[in-house]
Amino acid sequence: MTRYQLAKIVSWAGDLQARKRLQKVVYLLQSAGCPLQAEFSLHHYGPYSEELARLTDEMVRQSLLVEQSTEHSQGKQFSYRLSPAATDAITDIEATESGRQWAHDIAAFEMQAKALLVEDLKQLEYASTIVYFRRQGEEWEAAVAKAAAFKRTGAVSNALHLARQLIA
Amino acid sequence: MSAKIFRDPLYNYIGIDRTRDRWLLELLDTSAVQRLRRVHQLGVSNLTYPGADHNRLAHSLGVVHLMQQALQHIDGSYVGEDIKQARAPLLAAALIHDVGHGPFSHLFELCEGADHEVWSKKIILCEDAEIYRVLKKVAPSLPQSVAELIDKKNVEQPAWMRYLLSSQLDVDRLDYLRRDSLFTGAGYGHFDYFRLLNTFEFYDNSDGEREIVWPEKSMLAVEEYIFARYYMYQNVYLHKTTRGFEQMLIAIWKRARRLYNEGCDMTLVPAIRDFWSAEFPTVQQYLRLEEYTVLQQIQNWTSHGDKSINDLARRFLARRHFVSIDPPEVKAGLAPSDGGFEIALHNLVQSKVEYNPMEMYCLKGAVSAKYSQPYFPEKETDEQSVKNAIRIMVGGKPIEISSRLERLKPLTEVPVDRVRYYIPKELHAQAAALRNAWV
Repeated sequence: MTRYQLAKIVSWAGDLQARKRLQKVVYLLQSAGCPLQAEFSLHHYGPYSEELARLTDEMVRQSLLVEQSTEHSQGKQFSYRLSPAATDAITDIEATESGRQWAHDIAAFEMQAKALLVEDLKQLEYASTIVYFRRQGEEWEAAVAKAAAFKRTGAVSNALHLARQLIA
Repeated sequence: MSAKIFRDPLYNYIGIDRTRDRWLLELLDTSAVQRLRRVHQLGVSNLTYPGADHNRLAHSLGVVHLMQQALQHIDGSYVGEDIKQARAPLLAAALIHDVGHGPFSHLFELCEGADHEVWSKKIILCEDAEIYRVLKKVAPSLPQSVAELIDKKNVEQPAWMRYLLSSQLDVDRLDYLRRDSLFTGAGYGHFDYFRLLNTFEFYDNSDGEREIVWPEKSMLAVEEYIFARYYMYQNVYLHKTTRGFEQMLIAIWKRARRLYNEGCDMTLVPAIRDFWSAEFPTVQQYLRLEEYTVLQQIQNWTSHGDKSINDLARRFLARRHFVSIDPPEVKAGLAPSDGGFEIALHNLVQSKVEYNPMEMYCLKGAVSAKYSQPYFPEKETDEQSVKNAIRIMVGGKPIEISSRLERLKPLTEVPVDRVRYYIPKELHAQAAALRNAWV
């Protein structure tokens, strides 16, 4: 996954609440065919990419993303928005030939991304876990059962519908 | 019956119970495990550190020893059928977690694009092979359990078992850091492994899963471990001379493979010819690839008609390395750029007829932050486990260690990806002048 791609996703969110949300949205978009190419494995709350976590921190360190932390009952949570420098950099990149291609490659997923970015976090966790098992070769029913067993919770109503909308 | 004793330079003695764990000795005696004697733990690091000739078998036995200690600690502190059931899969996984490594360990993965964990799983699950038979005799499900445990993406086995074997602080790392330090003579990589193994605790997370955490009194041992990783990365694992030889071997290998695919006679030794000619190489074909096979192949190439393969093969065997050149500082931004330095360097090399083709004489070694950061914790509290954060118990709650020990913070910052170029020594002055003009 590139810095440009992450910057675009954060720009679509405006103010992206929670790293967990970012993780699940990137995984679902990638599963839907968006060429993000991050490596994921299954973690507490579903698919998790160390590569994406690193890229986020790297961009914060280079003042491309602005990070804010808040304390809540479960501990710390973080939110992200683009820095003015990154906003300008997107404009500059998209004025170049290769940048236009990058923008074109990801543009088709903008609506999907925006819908996922405001989706309920629990739904995202569950849907991405179902998709994870589905992509491991399980049938839908078995993927839902495995996700339920993995997350040790009952089904979250819209998660399967959300998952099926994203992948065949 | 007494234990089978192995002498080991790190632990003095490693013992395996001949009665209780006879099967583990049988596993050790399989040809696939014995092959690990002939796989260098640190690839071609011995070209930089002459003492770094230790092998994957000694490391694997070391991991068994540490796993035994961890299990003993768990036995003394926790009871449960699941803990009893975990013993055989964990000991087996400790011994054979690296069985899929090819010649020169991780280097071969870069040459062939073959992931050693994928091969480890194939070897363990190969029903015609000895490992499968030994494990199956212990329990019919054991081959599958062990294969799942060493697969970092698999979540079928309990989290605490997976994390004991593979996480930010696991028995694999506890052995190789100290072993690599000892054999390289680097003098770094010391930490109180005994405390780490004998004080960890289970913590039940909100999903009811057992997590691994450390008590506050072990905080400094964890810190020491993280610094040991940092020093070993900086001094041993990312050593520029070693990286240069790796790039040289990768360049030779990839060009040879391409020429072979185009129909050239590459004077291949039989094991490599069989492997390269197979559309889907078998486990047996893979296991026949040995370091001496690769070295014989490189020897063959010293008289090959392809000038660049011939030249680089001679350089590799005679330890005549390329010199490294660092690019100018990369401009930060959404699309990092070296401002065209790489193209200019390629042009410089291309202008010399003796260094043709250019891609064999201007080698690029990129070090991803992933491999140069000693410890990378996930920041968001509820996403943390020992897989992505080392936590200590403070007031009954797990706390990520760098939030408790501020001095660890700088080590958790993501470093920039580093690139180095390797070129013939004769070009160094011109390349350095080019780079200096860039700044």
